[in-house]
Amino acid sequence: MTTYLLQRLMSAALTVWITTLAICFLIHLVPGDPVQIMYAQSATTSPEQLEQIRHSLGLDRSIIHQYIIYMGKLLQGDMGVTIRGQQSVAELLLLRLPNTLLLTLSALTLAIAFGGVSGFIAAYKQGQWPDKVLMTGTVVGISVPPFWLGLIVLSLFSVELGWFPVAGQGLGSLVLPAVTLAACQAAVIGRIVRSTMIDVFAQDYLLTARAKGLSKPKVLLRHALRSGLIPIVSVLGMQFAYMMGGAIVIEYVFSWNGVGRLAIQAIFQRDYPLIQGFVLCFSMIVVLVSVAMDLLYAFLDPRIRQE
Amino acid sequence: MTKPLSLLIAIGLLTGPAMASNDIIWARYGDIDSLDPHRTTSTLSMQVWNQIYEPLLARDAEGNIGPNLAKDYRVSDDGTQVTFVLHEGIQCHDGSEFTAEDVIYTYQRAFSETNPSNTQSAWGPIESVNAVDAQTVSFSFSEPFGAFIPFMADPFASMICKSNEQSLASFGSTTAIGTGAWQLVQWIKGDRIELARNEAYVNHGRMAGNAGPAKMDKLIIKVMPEAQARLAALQTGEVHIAEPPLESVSVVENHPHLNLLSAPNTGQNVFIEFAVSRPPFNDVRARQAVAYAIDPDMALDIVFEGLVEREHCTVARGVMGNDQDYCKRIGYQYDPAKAKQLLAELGYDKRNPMDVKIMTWTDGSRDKLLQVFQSQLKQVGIEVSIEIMDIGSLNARVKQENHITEGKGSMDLMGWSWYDPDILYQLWHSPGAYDGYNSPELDALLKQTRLETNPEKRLEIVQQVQAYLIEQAVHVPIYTPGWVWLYGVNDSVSGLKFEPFNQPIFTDVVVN
Amino acid sequence: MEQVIKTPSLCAGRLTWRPSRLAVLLGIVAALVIVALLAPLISPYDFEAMASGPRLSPPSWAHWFGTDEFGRDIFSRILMGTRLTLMVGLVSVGVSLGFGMLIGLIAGYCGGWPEKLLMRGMDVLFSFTEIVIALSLVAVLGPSLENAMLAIGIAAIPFYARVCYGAVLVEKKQVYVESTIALGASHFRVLFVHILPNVVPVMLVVATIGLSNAILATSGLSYLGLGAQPPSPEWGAMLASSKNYFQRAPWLLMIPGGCIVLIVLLFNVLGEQLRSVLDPRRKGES
Repeated sequence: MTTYLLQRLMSAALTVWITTLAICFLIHLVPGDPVQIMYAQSATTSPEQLEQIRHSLGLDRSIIHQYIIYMGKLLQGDMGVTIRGQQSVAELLLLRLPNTLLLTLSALTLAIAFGGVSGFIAAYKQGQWPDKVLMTGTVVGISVPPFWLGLIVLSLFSVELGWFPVAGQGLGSLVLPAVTLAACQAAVIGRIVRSTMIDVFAQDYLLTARAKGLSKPKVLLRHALRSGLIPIVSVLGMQFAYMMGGAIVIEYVFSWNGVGRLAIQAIFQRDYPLIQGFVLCFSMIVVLVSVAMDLLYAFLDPRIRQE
Repeated sequence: MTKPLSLLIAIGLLTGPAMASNDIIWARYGDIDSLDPHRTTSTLSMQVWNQIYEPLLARDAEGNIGPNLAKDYRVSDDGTQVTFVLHEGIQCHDGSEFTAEDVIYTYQRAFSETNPSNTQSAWGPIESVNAVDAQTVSFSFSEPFGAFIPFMADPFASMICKSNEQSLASFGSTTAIGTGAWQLVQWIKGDRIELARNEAYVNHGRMAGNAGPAKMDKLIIKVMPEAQARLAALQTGEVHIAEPPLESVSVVENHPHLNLLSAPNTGQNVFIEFAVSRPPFNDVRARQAVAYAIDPDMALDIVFEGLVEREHCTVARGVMGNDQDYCKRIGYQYDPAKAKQLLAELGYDKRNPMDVKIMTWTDGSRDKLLQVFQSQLKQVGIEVSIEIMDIGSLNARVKQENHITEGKGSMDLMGWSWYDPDILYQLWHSPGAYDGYNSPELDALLKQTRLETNPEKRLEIVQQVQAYLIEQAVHVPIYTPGWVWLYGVNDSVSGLKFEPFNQPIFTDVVVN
Repeated sequence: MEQVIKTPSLCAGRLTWRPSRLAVLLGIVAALVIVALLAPLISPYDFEAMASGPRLSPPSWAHWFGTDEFGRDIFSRILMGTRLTLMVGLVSVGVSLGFGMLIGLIAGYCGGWPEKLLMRGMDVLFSFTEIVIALSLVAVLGPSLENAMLAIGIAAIPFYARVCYGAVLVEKKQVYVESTIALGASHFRVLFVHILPNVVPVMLVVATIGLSNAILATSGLSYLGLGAQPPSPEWGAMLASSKNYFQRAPWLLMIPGGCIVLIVLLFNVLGEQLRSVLDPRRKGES
């Protein structure tokens, strides 16, 4: 178990390190000069002044030198400042991150609840009409563009029916984006749960348990659900990553104040320090969550622990 | 499925939108760049910092210039000395008194050696600024500069309190000390700016009926980039004031609880300009071909459905020299045959079409306008690709394109808002805001528009400059207004006023 | 085990029924390809022509899907958009499939340090998540349809590589591979003649479902303004360009959006059918 843990942490650290390399070098592929963008509107900033600014930002040094400076700052928690507005990137991201996590986790919870229940029912009624209806529903679910669903949901439930606010600060405004984000992932989770549960139902020990005289609901809950949970946990890390990715677009559609919306804005404004910060922060979270999920998986499934 | 959903609905109904009753909530499509008036020229930023700072002078609804922070001003007979007398007892947001020292501080920041203001050239040829006493400040010029007084009434000449020096590193982002009716609480980048009422505020000349502090507690300016979400929030009453997407203006007009307000005298002018550093647009005939090939009247009609007007002049409505009849006479009429003829002279034909790009900035249906132009230009044999970007990137790109000497030709649909024909000097006197077109004759003419203080003679020169710019097809005017001038307002809101150049004033606003 | 529960007759019925469903789906795909190829010929109007009809007119006999804000015929634009959508799917899946299979084959077959290097690299890319890779690439390359589909293709490489790698490992363990090597076949021959054909069915299933992912992702980027630029009739770009007319002219949003759902649905269902036909071991998962 300890070696597994160590291995997993090592590879996570490696991933994060490669991320820092990638984002630092990627910026140099970009056409256009960030300093010029900052001072584009000024008719009076001379080329010498631009050069001075470039120097103060360290942009006139070699890539390796820049990377060392970047890493030095990063290790102190400094991700630089935004090109627009000169604000601390780290602070901006930290301020927005709770909102994104709130959205992602609410959506994930909803998706697991909906997906889990419908997958379970579909597996239980395999081949019968509930299974067919639910599985058709999930195929449609994974085929709907989330941004489009968001627009429709927004105009239906906010404007027409007036049930939910569009972009307030409270929990009420969380509902529509969370449900939209959950809808597509629920379909994916539903399918995974269904196929897992079909395998579980077919296993010998369940039949044995039934044969021992345990009642059907008890068997389902105690045995089937528990062993069905393990494969779900195994995909949870990946589902979380998908959700974080999906949240980017959903935040934009619903004006939800998270890091995703910030990132899209940064891309349009070519605010590279902010884009770098976003990519680093995003992949760090995804890596951490996937490590945590793998450990949970190892804890739940004894076979992995022994390997 | 139904149980969790209804539970969620219940939660939604319980919490509802979180807003205090004494706030004004204003949603816009984008965020500010900075609260430092010397660091940005975007309307989005200016509309916010204009609440925080004030200029020495102010304009009334007709654009006449009157007192504000300065109760009086004198221009010396030779035009090289301008003296302001300040009101006594004006307080900066930190409690310090606003004096001549603050005016000098503002000037020094604008002319900083290392980091001058983006609009430094608008201040004119200032030699020195001196405090005569605590309430009197005097500007000395090396030569007369007619555009100075109008500039002193503009938000770009906002007065920054010297006390900002103590927090200079955060100035413009987390701190901003001025004398305006609202003070900065916080700016959460990309999300919102919160301003609180300045309790010590006394109105000396701004366009508000209210002589004292604002009537509401807070002004919250939200960023809502997605137009549909902004419109929806306006419809549900979550935000009080928001720009509707231009395509859905009729939705606001027909809504029982929403009104549509239009800022008068925006000073906005949207025009086409060209990268003249390389073919094909280094040749005047190529630029003229574009001007003849487009039919702005038809395009505006399709895209804006009567919300904007055709603009024929290079300076905006309400600015000296804006004479539609004169400009129309010297301008270009839709004439595809003429365009084709010019293209043929340049050696372009069906098999060898002119291939160029056109850029503009996001929002305001400009992308749609370009699509119509694209289709019109195609008919005379000009292939155009469209690039849409954020305004800051566009400013940088236009400058870059003007430095590139080979490759695909480039033009752009650009917008500026300015209070004086001096805009033409800033755009086209070498090097110019974008390092674009310039010529010695044009430089000489533009120089004269600055030196001439007699209004009639100045107008004559301004008209010569316009004639030159239009004839050379350097600055092809298209329409006005151009951006964020429409306001969907909930009918619970009263007292919203607009200073010229699309500056909303919230001091009188009450939300019931 | 599940088969035991079912009645034999049902199983027999399924066997004859499934291939015909696959045939129907393939028929629809073929029809779509023909529509895409012939789009300029069968469009009732020029897809770019403004004022083909009155502006913002709802669906009618003259304009089956209505007209947009410029009076362009939406049906004609949807037809041209089909071409772009299929191209987007093919190009991005082509990129991910090509590179993904190459990496998977090499890593799976060679083992040793190439395996460690390549698969660790894929792990790293995988943890970036596809959307972040795609967004970063678009941020660097600039927004255009070509860049968007390239970015999405690249972003999906790790997924294809992993699947291919897994399939190669399974094949490598098969007895026939060992015996072929023992008989003196070259590595090249073993890899491309013996292993590859057995990996292809799995990859075909993945690629078919991948088509729908690529189409969804590209339309999303276009919707954000980071993909196809106006006046392209790419469906996501059509949505982006018309979204502000939603309350005035809902068909501008419902029609391109509906088309995306249908084409994505088609490839999802097709992928599953292919899986159940080509990969009978996983029949239960349908």
